Amino acid sequence: MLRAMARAVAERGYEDVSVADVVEAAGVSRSTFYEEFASKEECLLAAYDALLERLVTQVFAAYETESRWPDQVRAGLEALLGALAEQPDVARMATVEIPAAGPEAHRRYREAIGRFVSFFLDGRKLSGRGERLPKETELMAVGGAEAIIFDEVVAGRAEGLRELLPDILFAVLVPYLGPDEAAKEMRRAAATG
Amino acid sequence: MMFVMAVSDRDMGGPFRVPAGGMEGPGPAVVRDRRGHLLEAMASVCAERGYPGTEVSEVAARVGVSEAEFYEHFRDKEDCFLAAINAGLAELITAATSAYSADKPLVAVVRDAAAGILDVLAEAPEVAHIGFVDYRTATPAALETYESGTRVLSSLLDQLRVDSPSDATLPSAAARAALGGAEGVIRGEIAAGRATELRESLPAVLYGCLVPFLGQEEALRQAELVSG
Repeated sequence: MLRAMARAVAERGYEDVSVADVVEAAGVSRSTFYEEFASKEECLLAAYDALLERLVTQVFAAYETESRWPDQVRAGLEALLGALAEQPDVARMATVEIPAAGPEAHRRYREAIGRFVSFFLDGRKLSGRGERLPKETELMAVGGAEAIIFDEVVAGRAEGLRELLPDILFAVLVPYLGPDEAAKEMRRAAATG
Repeated sequence: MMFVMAVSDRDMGGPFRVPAGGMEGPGPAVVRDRRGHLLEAMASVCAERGYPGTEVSEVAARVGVSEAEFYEHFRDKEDCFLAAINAGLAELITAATSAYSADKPLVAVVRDAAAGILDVLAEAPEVAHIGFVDYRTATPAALETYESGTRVLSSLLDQLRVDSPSDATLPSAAARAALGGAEGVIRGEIAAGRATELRESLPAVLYGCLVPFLGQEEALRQAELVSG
């Protein structure tokens, strides 16, 4: 049912999906649906939580495979972009549909984004300017990556997200390392990717 | 909320109709006020319930008008929502463009534009909420408006490229990413219920906009100049 929900929402948008669509696609009865979920929104949120858990686990695991901070960020982004590119409908659900589904859904979206913030705390140490960097720098790094990913997903190009890894890496690193270092890391990623 | 009212006074091109009935009905000024109040109510209901959970009946009830009267001003919920968004967007664009002048350094333009935008948002927290939280994904038309708005602001920011002291070739998405970073800061503050204090985020927003182009030291210097 969670998968059916994700697919239906990705295809038609949250507002136009009914519980009937979901039960039909999942091949279950309406009463089975309501045994599990109180409402359409609850089903969507459950689908979202499951998706997030998987994504965050993958990204954390990839991050741990490297030791240099810029490499860790690159590996984490690679895992994230790979997962989104493999399932464009899920990518659309996660970035476009969920935030539109009401305050609770939006809160989880922000929370999910917030979970990536911890990756960047090491960047602050590494920057040599730790204290002077604005306290919102983590939101800035995440927001830069989010904007590029969002635009691509909206344009229907989620499949090609991996190609944007160097640009996204630059966006995330630049507040911490400055343009020269961030561009150097970007070129390294482009050469090895 | 001054903000929606001010814009709605100018916003006469929409599906605005003076009701028939001559002396019996409210005069044009009252109708214009009603429309402004409905836009305001739309923003506050959306901020509370999200766009999908917003009902026309509640929006009308908050203003104390009938649903029938709502439909004299707007075709449907989306029409009203987009009018509220467009009114807000018009105000933001005015804030950004009034920062521009030919004899002013681009860095100062970016600084004043960012300050103007934050002030507008801080003054109208509910509009800020629908603008930054509900807006871009609510409907396809809203999404289109968002995407075209970011293109305009990105290309303004991208002009900083010529001021860049760095030899490094910046990615083509540098300006869009910088704007996204600023959006991330603003959205984070709004989502945390601190929309009215957005002006305090000016140093961070400015740092994010400038750092890819001017480097960390100069971006920090500019941010520190506007802090406190």
